[in-house]
Amino acid sequence: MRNNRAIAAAITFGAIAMVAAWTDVNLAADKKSKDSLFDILGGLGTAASGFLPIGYEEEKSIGQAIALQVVARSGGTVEQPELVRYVNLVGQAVALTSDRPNIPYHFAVLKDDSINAFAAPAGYVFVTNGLLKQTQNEAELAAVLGHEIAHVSQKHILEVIQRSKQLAGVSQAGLAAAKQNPQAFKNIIDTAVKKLLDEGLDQEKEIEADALGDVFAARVGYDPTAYLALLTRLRTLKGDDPAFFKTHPSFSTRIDAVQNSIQSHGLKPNGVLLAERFARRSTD
Amino acid sequence: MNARHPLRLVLLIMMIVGGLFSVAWAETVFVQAKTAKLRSGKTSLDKVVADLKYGEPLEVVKTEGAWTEVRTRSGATGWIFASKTTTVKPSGSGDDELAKAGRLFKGKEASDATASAGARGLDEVSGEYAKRSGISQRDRDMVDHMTAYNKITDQDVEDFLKKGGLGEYAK
Repeated sequence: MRNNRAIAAAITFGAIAMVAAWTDVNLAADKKSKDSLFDILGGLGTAASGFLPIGYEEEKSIGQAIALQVVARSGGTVEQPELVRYVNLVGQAVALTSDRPNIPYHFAVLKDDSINAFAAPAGYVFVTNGLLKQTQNEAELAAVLGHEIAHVSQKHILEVIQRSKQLAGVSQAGLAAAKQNPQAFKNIIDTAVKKLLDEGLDQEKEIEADALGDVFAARVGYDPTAYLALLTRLRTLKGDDPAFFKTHPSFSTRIDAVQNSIQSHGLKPNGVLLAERFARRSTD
Repeated sequence: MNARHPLRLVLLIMMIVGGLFSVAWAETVFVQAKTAKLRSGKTSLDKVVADLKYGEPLEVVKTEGAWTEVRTRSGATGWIFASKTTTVKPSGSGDDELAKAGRLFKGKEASDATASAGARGLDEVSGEYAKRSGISQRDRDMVDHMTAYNKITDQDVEDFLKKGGLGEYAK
């Protein structure tokens, strides 16, 4: 009798534990959506002290202003309709399954023979002619664009803008403030551009963008090890001299981090490379 | 109380637990892509049952290879390419939420922002920035064209994936 009661108690306890676990699962699933609510509440809290969260309209103005500087410093964009369409198709394919697929993305090739790629807020993504020349297949291009899309999805540059706002002592750099005080907006953008193009983002942001960008490309079906091949090729070409890539961690650091990410995310090297389509730069 | 009574109680509790078990482990996933297709089978050749949207919750029936059988909130059942799902609810709609929060707070600025949302190319603020920064007209035009470039539809991307044998079109 006592045993039966013990069994019954154990099963009841198990049932309660299971309900608790189920609640946890659902809470975990909802956590992200609630986080955004907390973000808003947090944002409203900071608004009281003068800092509103950056909404999409404001992000768009910031992105366009930074894009103008990127284009101006790089000698302009390539205007070959087939190439522009091809890069946009690869970029859109990656962006549509990224962690922020619900904003428009814009891709362009810069007339610049140096090896680089850039992102600006609100989905502005650039890759240089020089980097395209070192790229051997579509999977590598997808990972490069994925890296830049990750900067947008994680709002890395907007964090720089928030810091610039604080440094500039501007309490609110929303659209209204930008219209009323365009010089303050310019100062904030110029500070962010200096950080982005001359000094580089924090190293951990670059490592995060490498890992996430490769995940985004793998989600589309590209081989995640293609990015390792590109980084290794660039290391052979340029070495690990930090002076070359002063805005990024060394290639060796990045290769190690991407390798670890591929393992920890369980990405399988069974995706496609599409070297021939890349060589033709064709949409067929 | 006879000896069989607690046994009945145990059986009853087991039935309740069994019911809870099935509810507890009905896994939910969410669409992790701007759009995704729910198909009648687990190949890209199978008929499209429904078009799914970003963040839509789906109840998992089972997973086989690269495909997951799911049930939508409206009751439709079909297969989705597993790479287009996530177990964590996407928070991307926060973009809209934050913008709404900004509008609530900023009053007039909100209507300005909304009015400019439909504009193509550079907006007023970045246009003014270009002027103050001495950005050439050529460079302004390039960013303007880049912003307004809208020659690629979601269907074009789908066709591009298909031709490349990518994602659910993998050969």
